[in-house]
Amino acid sequence: MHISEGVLSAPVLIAGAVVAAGGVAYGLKRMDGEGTVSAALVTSAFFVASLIHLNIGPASVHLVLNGLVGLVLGWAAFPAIFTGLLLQALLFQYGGLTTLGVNTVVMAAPAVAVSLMLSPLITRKGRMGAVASFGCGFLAVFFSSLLLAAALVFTGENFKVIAWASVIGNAPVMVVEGFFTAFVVSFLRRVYPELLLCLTPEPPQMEERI
Amino acid sequence: MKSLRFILLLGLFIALASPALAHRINIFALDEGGEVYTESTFAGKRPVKKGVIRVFNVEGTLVYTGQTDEKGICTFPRPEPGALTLEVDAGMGHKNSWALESSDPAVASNEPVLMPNDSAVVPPKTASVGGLSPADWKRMEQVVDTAVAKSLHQAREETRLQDIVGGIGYIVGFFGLFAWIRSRREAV
Repeated sequence: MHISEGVLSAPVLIAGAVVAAGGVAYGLKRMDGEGTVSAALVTSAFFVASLIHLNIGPASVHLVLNGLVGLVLGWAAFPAIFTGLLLQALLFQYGGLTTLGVNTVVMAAPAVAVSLMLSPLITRKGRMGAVASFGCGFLAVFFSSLLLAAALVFTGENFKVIAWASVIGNAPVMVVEGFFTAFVVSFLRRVYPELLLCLTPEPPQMEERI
Repeated sequence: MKSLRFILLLGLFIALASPALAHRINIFALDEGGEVYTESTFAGKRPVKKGVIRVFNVEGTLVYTGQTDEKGICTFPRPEPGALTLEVDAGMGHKNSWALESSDPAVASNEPVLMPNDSAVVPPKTASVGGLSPADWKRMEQVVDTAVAKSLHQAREETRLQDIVGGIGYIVGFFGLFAWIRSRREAV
């Protein structure tokens, strides 16, 4: 997911930076006091997640967690992922500073998209909620791999070829991410429901207490 | 039964998938007496298999193209003596480069130019010191340089705990600063 420096052309880099800047500004605007605390927490998780490598067959993948970030933060996923990527670039040499904008869009835009699409379903009990949270993790990575392909297309590669390569290459991450997101959501639901409820208008916790 | 078959198929699919995924990529290169040795790895010291190696000279012309083997290694004779830029490309936006200094012909032809003041280390031109000829000394120096350069590079590429902890500290700091600025604005 992290595009290295020197791969993309200037127009793509600039477009990415502009969209990322807009997203970060809007995300910060929407972030309230409580949201800042969860943003710091989730950003830390995102920052560390890329270091956790899982070996699936010959492929080694690492967690992205953008679905989870979107689920918890909504639009604040933009500043969160931007911060995480900035520090990954500076401290671990993942991606690069010039590609920061593009990488932010590639990972944060799907995060916001899945949160808008699926957050109403997440709080449902039972199978529905579990499937929705799995879908959240799965689809976020899926959309990211498509955006990654779209960014790389301007380097002169064929979109169909690169999109297939990107989706197939990231398929293990999607599955792992889906299960991981479902697990974390079910854990948060029991232990720290406020983190998830800040997204949903109706508080289902109230019903349980009565 | 059908779902089991589907899972098996998916598993096979995943097993065949290219390992060139979202990772940091590194290239390390050395000139071992006219032979350029390159080693390309992803984060966690996993080799870049079948990655493309491109070599550019100072003018930016492509002078060599090669491919890494199963161990991420690619060796080739130095195409020209000037400074070179070596680039590894694993596809999917994973690229990195390494600058190789020019192999100075003055240094290559007569050894004592290296360290004229350090008589203790550099042996006299003709006499053998400790049973070693000047050529042996030169070779030994090369070997030591190679080993040191390699281990220094590896140490730098490792993800260290203090970086992780420091990064989390920065995150908390950034968002804390943001919350503080916002609370001040709201208070005014």
